[in-house]
Amino acid sequence: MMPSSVTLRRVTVILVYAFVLVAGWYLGGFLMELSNIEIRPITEPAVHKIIMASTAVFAAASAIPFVPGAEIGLGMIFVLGGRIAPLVYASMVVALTVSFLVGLLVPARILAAFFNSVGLSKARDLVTKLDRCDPEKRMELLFANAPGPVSRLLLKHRYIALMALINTPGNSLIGGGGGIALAAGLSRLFTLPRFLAAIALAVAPVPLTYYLIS
Amino acid sequence: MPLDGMVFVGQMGEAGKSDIADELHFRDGKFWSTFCVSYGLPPGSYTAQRIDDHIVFQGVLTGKPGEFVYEGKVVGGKLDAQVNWTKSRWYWTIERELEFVGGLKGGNSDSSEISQTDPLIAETE
Repeated sequence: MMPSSVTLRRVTVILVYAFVLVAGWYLGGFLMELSNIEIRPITEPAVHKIIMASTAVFAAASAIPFVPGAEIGLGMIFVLGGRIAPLVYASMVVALTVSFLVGLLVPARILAAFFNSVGLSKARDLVTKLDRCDPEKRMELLFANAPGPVSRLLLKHRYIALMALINTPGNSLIGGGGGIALAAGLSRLFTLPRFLAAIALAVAPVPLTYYLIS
Repeated sequence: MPLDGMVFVGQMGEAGKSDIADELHFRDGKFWSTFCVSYGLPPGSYTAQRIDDHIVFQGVLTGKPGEFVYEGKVVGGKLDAQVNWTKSRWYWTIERELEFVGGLKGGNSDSSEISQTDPLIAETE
C-alpha cells in the first residue's frame, strides 16, 4: 500500500526536526569546545571553520519566522568575545534583509505553501493571515498585542515601530526577527533603503555594546 | 651575519608557557622554525647584530598561518625570542604574543647539522 501524502509529510517533518536537533546538538558541542580552545596558530583553522558554520546556522535561523536565531548570535559573542560582534551584527542584518526581500518579492500563497510543506505551521498561519489583510491591517496585526494608544503611535511611525519590535523581548510570539522582517516585506509599506537603515540601527545596540566593552 | 649557521633547539608557545618542541635555524640571511615549516610557513629574512656579549635579531615569517614577527636575543648560547603572531580573517584579526626559548644545538654553529628536510634546499630545488 502506498503511504499517504500526510504520512510522507509527517515523516519529512520528523526528519527535519531530527536534523535540527542533531545539528543543534553538534553546534552546542562545537561552542562548548570552542569555549575551551585557546586560539593558537595550530587551532586557528579549525576555529575559523566552526565560526563559519555557526554563522551560517545563525543567519538561517534568524531569517526564518518563529525560529530563535538571536540566541545563537549571543552565544557566539559570549564564547568568542566582543571581537566577533561585527560578524554577528552583519549576519543579523543580512538575515533580516533576506526575510524582508522574500516577503516583498515572493507571493504570499507560495510562501505559505512552502512553510506548510516544511511543517512550519505558525509561519504558514502568519503569512496566510497577513495575506488576507490590506497593507495597513498587516502592520496592525503585528502591533495587536500593544496597548491601544501605543499601537496607534507605532502605526504612525512604522520604521520606529519596526525597530522597537525587533528589540522587544518575547517578540518570538509574533514571529521573531525573521517573522517581523517577512511581515514588513509582505506589507509593502516599507522601502528597502529605509528598511535597511532601520534594521541597521535596531540590531546595533547589543553587538555594539559588547564590541565596545571587549 | 652573526647567527648564520646556528640552530637553536627549544620550545615555542604562548608567552610564559611555551610547550611545543621547535628548532630555529639561521642560514644565508634566512631563518625558519621547523614547527612553522610543518604548517606551511616558508623561511623568512632576518637581521642580526652583535652588541657586546650578546646578539640581537629580528625577522619575519609570513605564510598561510599568518605573520610571525620575531625579536630575540642570544646570550651565552641561549636564545629568547618574543614572537608576535597576527592572523587576519575577513571578520577579525587575531593577535597573540608567543615566545621561543631554546639553546644552541650541540653547542656549536656548524651548518652541516641542519636536517635533510632543509626548506632552503627545497626552495632552490
